[in-house]
Amino acid sequence: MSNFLTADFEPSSAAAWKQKIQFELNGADYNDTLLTKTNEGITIKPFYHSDHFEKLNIPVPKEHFNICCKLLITSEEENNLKAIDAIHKGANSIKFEAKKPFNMDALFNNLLNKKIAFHFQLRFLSEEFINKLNAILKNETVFINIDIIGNLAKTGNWYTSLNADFKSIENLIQKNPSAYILSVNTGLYQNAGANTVQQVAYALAHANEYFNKFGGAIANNIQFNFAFGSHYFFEIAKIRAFRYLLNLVLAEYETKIDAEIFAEPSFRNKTIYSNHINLLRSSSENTSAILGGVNTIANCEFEAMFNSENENNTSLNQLLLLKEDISLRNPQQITTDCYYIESITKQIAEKALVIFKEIEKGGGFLSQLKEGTIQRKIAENAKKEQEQFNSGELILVGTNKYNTEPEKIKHHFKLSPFVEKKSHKTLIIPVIPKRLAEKLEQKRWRNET
Amino acid sequence: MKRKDFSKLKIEVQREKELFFEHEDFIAGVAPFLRGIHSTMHLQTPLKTTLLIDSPIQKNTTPEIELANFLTESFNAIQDCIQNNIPVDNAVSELTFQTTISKNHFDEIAKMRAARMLWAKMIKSFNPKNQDSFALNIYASINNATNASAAILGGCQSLASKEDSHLFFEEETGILKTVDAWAGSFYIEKKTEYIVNEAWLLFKKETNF
Repeated sequence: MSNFLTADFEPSSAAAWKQKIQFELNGADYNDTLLTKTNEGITIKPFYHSDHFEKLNIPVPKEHFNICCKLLITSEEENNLKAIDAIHKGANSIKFEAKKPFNMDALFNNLLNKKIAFHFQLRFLSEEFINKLNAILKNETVFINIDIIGNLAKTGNWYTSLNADFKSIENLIQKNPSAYILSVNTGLYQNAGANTVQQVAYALAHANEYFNKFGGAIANNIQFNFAFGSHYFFEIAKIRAFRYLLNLVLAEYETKIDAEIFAEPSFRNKTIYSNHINLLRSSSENTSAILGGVNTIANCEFEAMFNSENENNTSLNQLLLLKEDISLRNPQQITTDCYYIESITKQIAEKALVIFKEIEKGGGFLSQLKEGTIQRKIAENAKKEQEQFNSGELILVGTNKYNTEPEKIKHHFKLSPFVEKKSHKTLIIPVIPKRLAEKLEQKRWRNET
Repeated sequence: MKRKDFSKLKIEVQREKELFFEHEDFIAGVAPFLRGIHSTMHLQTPLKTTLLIDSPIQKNTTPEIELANFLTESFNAIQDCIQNNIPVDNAVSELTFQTTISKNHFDEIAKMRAARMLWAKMIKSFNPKNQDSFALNIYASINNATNASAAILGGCQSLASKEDSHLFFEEETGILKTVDAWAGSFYIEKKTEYIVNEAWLLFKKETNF
């Protein structure tokens, strides 16, 4: 823009701008009035300026993101039809969640050789089953997503035992050397209340247990799963910080990768009252994920989870709309050099690296998980968030603010929407996902007449 | 395997942007027109929101044509006022950029940023006495709650909508915690520059400025 403004106006330094703001504040304290301190320990400034520009060199995905439809396997035939329908509507990957082994022929009927990516989330670990799955899907893009450490964190137990679980992974990798067998499921930590810095640190430390055991090259067999909350720019920055740090850690193993990252909206901030806000939440979360540079993004299952009548279509449609807008542009060109995003990316990376080093110094992620340190740290942040929610500092629209209209929702639900706590004997304390609104909603639920 | 020692790992910070646009630092010199009416906008002055009864009308036009038309109309209106002995600052205080936000999220953000730059440049020619005259007031209407984020990130002062679910963006996303959050972005700055240049050319042609 040749001299468009230079001819008429003077440029401004960051210092001059700050001075101008202080003048406008009319005596109010700049720090008290305009700085925002986050739970990560990062301070959001009222403005960002080229004078203080700093960034990290982020490895970014080269291809456009994929849209994934998540389906819990109930009946193979029915799920098969649902998958075909989702593909027809524009999804290009499917994630099947299975509680037990399923009939592959029925599930994959008419789904093969269509350039679809298949993701799985199996609640069991069976080498035989996974090998068969890989054989049937040998011409497809497949992500098995076995995460023995994530399973330990989630359930408190190994599938079988530490040695047997690691041995299974070793065998599976040996048999399927180029397949995405593993995953690092960081979504669990987010849903349990870890902040963005913790999520990045735990993702790294969690992954490093696999690198430590199998060598850095195993990173090529891992898909990284993240859950996204609604703090828009921080969520964009966390993925960029993670990509940077992952390769920093892998450099110690003399390798680097373009990490495969799978994103889905968080459950933590979703609400059963004022349900329509959830769609805006997941829309914002998906946009953050895309701009942050994830490879695959899944629709929000929140509604479908509680209400079997409600199909995944709304949030799938919403993803398709997002794709229409964003894929015309390159997400990386949008985020690159944005003062604010670059600044918080760097700060998240810095802080996560400190935590990662502490974990490694303390014997590594597994050891800290067994000691309960990770769980304690997550619980501390979750408690802080819960208190902020309870006091109205952290807002969920329609739940702890603007919930003026009495809403009756009980009749929509066949099953109770609240998680029932089942206690069983565990090896370690499990990491428990918790929704911020749950307690408040239980009260509203009881008061519904 | 023996655990590796990561204690010496260090992040490497770069201080250079890939591409620097000349307009990026022209912010607070006269008026912070690039980033809002006050440099503390949204932080000190809360965003005004109003409820609409009817859906706002979406003009089927490009951002550059929309802005050129707005500038031309404003320019003619101010000239009329001056001919009737109304001081420029009084005339300007009555003018607002009213726009309906389309679904092109990033282009809408660039449009509002461009609007402020163009406005300041046009107003400069009238030599106003009041610094506030350089700052454009933007009133954005939305048809769909999702578009509220573009309106906020573009830096509108007033937001009008048929429903109030856009409150989500104000309350939960943190996007009001900093002004002009997308500043510096390669795409946004480039698009802003493009819209400014094209709209200014059109405006000059219309008004013989």
